[in-house]
Amino acid sequence: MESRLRLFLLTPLMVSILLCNSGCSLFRHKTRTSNEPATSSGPVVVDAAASATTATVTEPVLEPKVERRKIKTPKIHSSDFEIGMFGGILGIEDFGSHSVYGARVDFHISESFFLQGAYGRSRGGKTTAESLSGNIQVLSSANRNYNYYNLSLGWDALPGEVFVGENRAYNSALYFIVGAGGTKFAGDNHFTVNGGFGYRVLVNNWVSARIDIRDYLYDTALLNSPKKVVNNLEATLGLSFYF
Amino acid sequence: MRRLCALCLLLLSAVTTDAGAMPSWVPFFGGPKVYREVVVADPYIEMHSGPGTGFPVFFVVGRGDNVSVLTRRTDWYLVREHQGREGWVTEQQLARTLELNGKQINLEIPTLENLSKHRFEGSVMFGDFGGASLTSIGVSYGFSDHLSMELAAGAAPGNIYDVDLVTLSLTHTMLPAKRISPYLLLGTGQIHTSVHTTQAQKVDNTNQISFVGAGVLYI
Repeated sequence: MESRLRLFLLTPLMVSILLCNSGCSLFRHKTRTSNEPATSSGPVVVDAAASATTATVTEPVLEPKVERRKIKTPKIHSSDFEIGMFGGILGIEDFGSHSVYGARVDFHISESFFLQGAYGRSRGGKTTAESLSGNIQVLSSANRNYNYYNLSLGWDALPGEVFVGENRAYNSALYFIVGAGGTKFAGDNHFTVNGGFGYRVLVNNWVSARIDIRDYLYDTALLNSPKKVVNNLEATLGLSFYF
Repeated sequence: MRRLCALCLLLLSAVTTDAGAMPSWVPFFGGPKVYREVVVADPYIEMHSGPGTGFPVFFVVGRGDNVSVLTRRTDWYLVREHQGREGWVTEQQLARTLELNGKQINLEIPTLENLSKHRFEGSVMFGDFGGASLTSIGVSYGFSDHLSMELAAGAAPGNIYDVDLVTLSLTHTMLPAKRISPYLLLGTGQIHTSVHTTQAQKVDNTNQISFVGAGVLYI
């Protein structure tokens, strides 16, 4: 009798517990699906994921060996510098005209202006007095070496194009240049101002050919003679490369 | 002689390269082989025949097309479009193109804000040194925004004496982020003095010098 009564009381209790469990699960399922995108896996997936996470903590299932590729963006290199050589004729006042050669480096500040550093060498010949008299020597052989350097500012005043035939055009620029530097001649150093103009033609985007006409002015007092201003005119052809 | 021949061949190869193409000598100077690719975002970009406003526009590249950036010269960029045409584009137009990942291109254009980040600086000076005209060049390295070291060499041919100078100086810039900044400098060096050969007495000596200075920098 007592066991029947116990069975009678325990059966509804078990049924209510079972219903409660399934109701809570259903409720939980609905709550999750309202937050997440709708999937058919429902609570089973969530439970499986949770158990998988627990398992990962204790023992990793997969060890990812992914090596990240380093993506290096190529740099844009500048080509503002121009290096070149030149050769031509330099007229040294009183000492005749002789060959001159040297090197130049240009730095293009903007599309219109550039800075130029130059170094050149030449050699003075005999003066008229030396040639006529025969035994007078104004300067020793070593002192006839003519070296100069200068730093100048150039202005590309007239940029344009040169047309060769119907299908070829080359970029060009007529420029004016002025600067200062030094000249070593006759054993003396002279502060020298220079000025002139030139014409640059670009063979391609990296190579240019140019003609330069330059005047160099400095004070000199050769052999204690009265000081005078010397004008040395120079005409050169040059080839230079942008880098 | 062999070196001279090699140099001549190098120059010849550079000159005879097709117009616009990268010459073979560029890799020797670390020239780029892989170029930056960008996508045109504006309706179009204009390709000029040379790096200057005076050079004519000969081609336009439309929105969405890729171009390779070969080099920069002052404010102009040499680009190559997919059919191989090369032309010069202004900095303003290139700054509005996109990287392949869709981000706007960063051309690292110098501004007042990032000017203090640069480390090397070159200088050219003209002036007066005891009546003689001084010409000087120098290079400086910045240890920080405030402190830099400069190595300079100068020559001042005078009427009586010629002066040659080599100096090493430390410069302290007080307000590096400002457009106008005072600076102090402290330096040492060597000065070589020689008399003109036309003078009777020959003086030729080298002395050590130290100097302090101050100035105002305007950027």
